[in-house]
Amino acid sequence: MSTLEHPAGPAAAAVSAEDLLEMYRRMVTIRLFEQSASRLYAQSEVPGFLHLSIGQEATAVGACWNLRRSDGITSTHRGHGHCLAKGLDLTSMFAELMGREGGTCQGRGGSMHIADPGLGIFGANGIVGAGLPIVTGAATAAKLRGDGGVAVGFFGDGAVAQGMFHESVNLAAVWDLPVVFFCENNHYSEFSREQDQHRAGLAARAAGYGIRYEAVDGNDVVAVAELMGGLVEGLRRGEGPVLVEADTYRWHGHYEGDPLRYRTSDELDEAKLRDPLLIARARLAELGTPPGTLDDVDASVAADVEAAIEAARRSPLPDPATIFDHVWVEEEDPVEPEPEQGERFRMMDAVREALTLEMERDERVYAAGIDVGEGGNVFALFRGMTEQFPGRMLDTPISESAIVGSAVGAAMAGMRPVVEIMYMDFIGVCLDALMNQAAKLRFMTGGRAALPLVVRTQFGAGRSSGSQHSQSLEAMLAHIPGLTVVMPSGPVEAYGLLRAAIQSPNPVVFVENRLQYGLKDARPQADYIIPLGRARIVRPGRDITVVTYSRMLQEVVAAAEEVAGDGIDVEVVDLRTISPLDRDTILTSLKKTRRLMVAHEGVQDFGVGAEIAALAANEGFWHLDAPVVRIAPPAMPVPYSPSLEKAWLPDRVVVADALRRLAEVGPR
Amino acid sequence: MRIQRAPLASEQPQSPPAGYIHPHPHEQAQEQALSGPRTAPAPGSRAAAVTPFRCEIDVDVTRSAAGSRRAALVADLVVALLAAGRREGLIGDRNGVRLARWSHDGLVGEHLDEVWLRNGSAVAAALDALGPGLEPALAGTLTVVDLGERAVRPAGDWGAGGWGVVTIGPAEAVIRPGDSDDGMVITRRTLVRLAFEVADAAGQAGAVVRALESAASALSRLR
Ligand SMILES: Cc1ncc(C[n+]2csc(CCOP(=O)(O)OP(=O)(O)O)c2C)c(N)n1
Ligand SMILES: [Mg+2]
Repeated sequence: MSTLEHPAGPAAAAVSAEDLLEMYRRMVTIRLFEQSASRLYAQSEVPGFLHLSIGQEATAVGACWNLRRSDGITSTHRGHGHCLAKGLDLTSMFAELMGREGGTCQGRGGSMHIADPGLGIFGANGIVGAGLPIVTGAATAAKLRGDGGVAVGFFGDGAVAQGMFHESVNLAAVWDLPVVFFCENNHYSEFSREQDQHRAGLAARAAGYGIRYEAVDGNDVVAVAELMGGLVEGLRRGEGPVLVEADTYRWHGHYEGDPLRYRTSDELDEAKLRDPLLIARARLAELGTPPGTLDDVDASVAADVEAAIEAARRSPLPDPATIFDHVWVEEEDPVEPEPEQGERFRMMDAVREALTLEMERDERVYAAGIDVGEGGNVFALFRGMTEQFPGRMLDTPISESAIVGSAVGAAMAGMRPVVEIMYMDFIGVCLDALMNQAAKLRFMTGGRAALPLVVRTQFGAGRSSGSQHSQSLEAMLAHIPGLTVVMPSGPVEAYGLLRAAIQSPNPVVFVENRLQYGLKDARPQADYIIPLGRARIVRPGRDITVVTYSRMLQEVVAAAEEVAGDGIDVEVVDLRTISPLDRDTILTSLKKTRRLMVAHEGVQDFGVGAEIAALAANEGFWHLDAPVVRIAPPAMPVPYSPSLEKAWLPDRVVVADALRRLAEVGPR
Repeated sequence: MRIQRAPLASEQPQSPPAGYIHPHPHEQAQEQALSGPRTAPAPGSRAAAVTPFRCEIDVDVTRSAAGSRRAALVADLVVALLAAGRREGLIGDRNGVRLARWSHDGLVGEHLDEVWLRNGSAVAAALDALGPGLEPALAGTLTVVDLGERAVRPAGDWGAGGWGVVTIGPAEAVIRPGDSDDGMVITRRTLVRLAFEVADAAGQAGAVVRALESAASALSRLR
């Protein structure tokens, strides 16, 4: 075994016996942790999924050996080794697996979601490939800070087939990010063999992306550490991303309980001959370390592991009363000032001015997106800002998953990204980053991950943009707990709300209506800000409450003015923030008027109006004098032809008509 | 930002706000559908398994009665008793309230909308405005009978029907010993007997007792 060949890493100091002994100790720790976890799972002490990396310990320890505490890693569903190698402690990890309060993430995450951003661990991940956009963001943060930080993204051979892999590696290549994409090739993706998953190997792929590729024996911790030592040093000096492929093998099934029908026991026996622990022992023997020393290490780790399990068992299960903790950061709102009446400015000025002010105030703020930098945004919102903020207005490839996913990583690494999805319709191609990462990571990490990020996007029907460039998809986003969804109705709101969104500790999707970019209103004072989660009474009234938001507000206000002539006094509520919903303002208004209408541009079925109608039926039932009315387009794709689109999209005439009829229903 | 969460399953359905009366309670509709005219069996005529419960208390109305008309006194008692009944969960939206008075022809009275929302003077005005005849009771009707200054003590429910009957007796002056800084004093108090009968004792008797006590103490606090 001592004659094992391993490709020597570029220019790195030979590993000392002392260092190797420490690497050995870390690998034994991972091995015994996972063997114990397997036992605890079988005894039902670990209640959830468990994917073990026994046999792969050398990749985790070797890859993290040269990292600083502040360097970031992202992990996978098979991530215990990575977390232990990056410095997490045994007790909190056992407690996490057991779902206990003393867990790394207070029992909110479990095995697949262990994270500790304080240690640079930006999360194991239950979504294959999802760590890669995130590590790209961690590397972006390091690069923007210019502090020599690096990032390592672990992934499996199966994840190579994921679109997020492609987008992340490509973005890292284009941005020259200090990141190692570290593939633990264990030759299986669940039950499928590597050769059935892709035709081209990673070397060819790296060439395709125009980045460096290195292969290494993933069972030899020294080989891995030496290779990574050289690479990390290069990245700290400013070299670009590297794709590393470490050859290894997992001994257990894909998950605990896997019947392992897809491979033979001979194959496993052969793999066990290349046990990373045996290889390290052989190397230590070569360096003169007596076997007794190694046995002592084994025994002391075993004692540590047993003590950690006992300590974890003493931690209580979380109190159900704390169930809502960590979903959102909740804090007192700033007082909403009265907007001053300055010169008139356009909605597009509002967006630019809000971003500009926040970038001036806080150097952690940066913007990224397709044509956001040199291009100045496709609607020219940011023209000239690249000169004003060099290096902080970033152009991206057409890679929405990487755009949003990297924002998640950068936010966890301490930045405040403001990224752009050019059209709201494109949310579909990056939904994971929003739904499973941005929205959930704070909760799943027991509040350890901070996610102060803004995804700006725009929508708008009425200009024959067709079914894929017109949609109002806020209901879909509002259905995702953890996301804040904001839709300003005009320039003043856009300014105050965007500032609040950028300052928010929560992930915010900020949705502008492009038909309003030219809309003008009086510019408020520079420090004007609007608290998130608060609706506004735009027009007080007595007879009917209309809840609306975004561009539809203009239609509703116009309709309200019209029916005022018929003696119908309409109260108009501008939601401003869709989620979390300002239930109190709606209910208070309903109590007064006893009639409710909701108007929006998103299609009616399962829309925001349905939620508000449910609120009225559920909590406002006692105050309703008439059925709730929903004014929204019918549930069908937005039509292209002007005649069809006009029939589809409700306007002030439709609203006024419905208001008149609603006023006639029930007691007066 | 503060999250305003939707009510949990355990918090639903939401309770109506104080004073709410549904325009068409489900039971009323059903009652009408089954038995045609808007009548309900008298509390005493229910099936054998259902036993009525009656309870009385002497309420000290010295302050309330001083210088005020009978109607105002009765109104104060009605308001206090309804509030106490709602607090006890005894009286809810299913209970319409019928105000009644004993006249030489028998009971006259009518249903009063949203009694919960009315103050004493509004109830007094309603009492003054009672027309002739007695509107029939519905299943949930609580009838409040003002006995006036008659010395009789009705021992039952007047055969008035509905869910329950409250009888407000005459005001009686009594001499009572009391404490003051100078030692024992003899005071003159005005008491009114308040009787509350529900057609079905099961599950309601305790709340009737508590509601009467609570109404009595609310009024005597006026002292
Ligand atoms: C997006 C997504 N698709 C499918 C799965 C189900 N799944 C979990 S692990 C896995 C295989 C991953 O293989 P690989 O990347 O090689 O990692 P390994 O399990 O070998 O460590 C699959 C398909 C998932 N979690 N996420
Ligand atoms: Mg694999």
